[in-house]
Amino acid sequence: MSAPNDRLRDLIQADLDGALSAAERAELARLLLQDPEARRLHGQLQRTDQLLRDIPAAVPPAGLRDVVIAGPAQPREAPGRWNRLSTYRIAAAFVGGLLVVGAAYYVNDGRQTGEALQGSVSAGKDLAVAAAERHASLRAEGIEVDATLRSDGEILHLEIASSAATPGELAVKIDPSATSLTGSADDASVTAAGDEVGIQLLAGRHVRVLEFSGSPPIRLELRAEGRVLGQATLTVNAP
Amino acid sequence: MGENVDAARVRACLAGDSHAFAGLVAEYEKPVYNVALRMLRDPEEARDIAQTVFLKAWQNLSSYDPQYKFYSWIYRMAINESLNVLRTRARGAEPVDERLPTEDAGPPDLLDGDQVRGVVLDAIDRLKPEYRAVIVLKYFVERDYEAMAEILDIDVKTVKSRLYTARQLLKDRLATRGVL
Repeated sequence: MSAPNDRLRDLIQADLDGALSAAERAELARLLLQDPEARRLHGQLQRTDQLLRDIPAAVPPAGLRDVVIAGPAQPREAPGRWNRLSTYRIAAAFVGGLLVVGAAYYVNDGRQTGEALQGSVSAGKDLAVAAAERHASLRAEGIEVDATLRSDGEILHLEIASSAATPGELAVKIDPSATSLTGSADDASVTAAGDEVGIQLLAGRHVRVLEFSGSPPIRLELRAEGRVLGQATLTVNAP
Repeated sequence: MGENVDAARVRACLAGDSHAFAGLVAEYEKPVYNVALRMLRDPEEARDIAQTVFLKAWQNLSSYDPQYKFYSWIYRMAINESLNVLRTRARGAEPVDERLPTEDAGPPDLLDGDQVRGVVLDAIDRLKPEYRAVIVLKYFVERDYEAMAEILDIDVKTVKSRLYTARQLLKDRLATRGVL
């Protein structure tokens, strides 16, 4: 096939990138109508574009975020003085970071840090508000769960955002003598029995909100194929 | 994520708030890992690159110029770190002519979805790094021409040219493998 002229090439590229104006779209349609080779090229490039778009984003390995976040435990160097750290040194820094912050290995979350940021910016006077939310992340084997617990009087709102490459289950454990499930999204994947509310984590991204009456703490347990992959405890301080 | 949020986090980091850095990591961990993974097609190296990028970011935050988008800065590091790995690999490897079919070329009778994705990833893997970079930024972190130009420090015209050439090379390779 002969090389397409520059104009046709620009129009095809813009079409693939969703950047065609109405006039350009009409011009491309006219050019394609006139030239079967151009139609073939356009079709193949469209198919190539779609195949590229069909490749799913990869889920970072479990623990990467924790290891990376441990980096700030080390002193910031002047620009240009960076030396690459080995995984083992980073892991050692991670352990040190954990000792400093007293965090559980599998419990961490970006929103938690946003909360911390709010607290630091507000110089303490809004700390009670910031501390009234608690967050946790559980990440293992391609399953990510971000959970946020908020208190609204006697109602607890538990928001659970999940992203799963493979199915799993999140168990929300409560003290049934003190806390009970009062509402949830109309979702067949949520079941309640005794001290446990089970949430089926389906492949893909999902957000659910559960409501409880009572008081925290609420424990989370991430499971897959009968195995416990991680645990976290959420609590809410009184504002 | 909004640029203002990133900027606030960077300021907080520079003020000594390491928790703010965790917010940046949470936001960009996945795209940075994906950039490295698609550039290198090696999960272990991609993990190592992601660690290096974020630690470099932390170490060098004071040199970050807020007139640029934070993601441009961190994606550029991810691309550059990946290119360093590719250069190291290339020292011990024979050059690949992207227009030549490989021995395993030839239309397969039937490919399932995973196999097609494998063929597409193979095709990306055979692109020269400058072409691979634009494909990765376009399709795996969804950057537009201007963002790609800023990340790669080239002009928009060059971005468009490289992207078109990269798509052509992929198209030819996929046609050879029978998936078009």
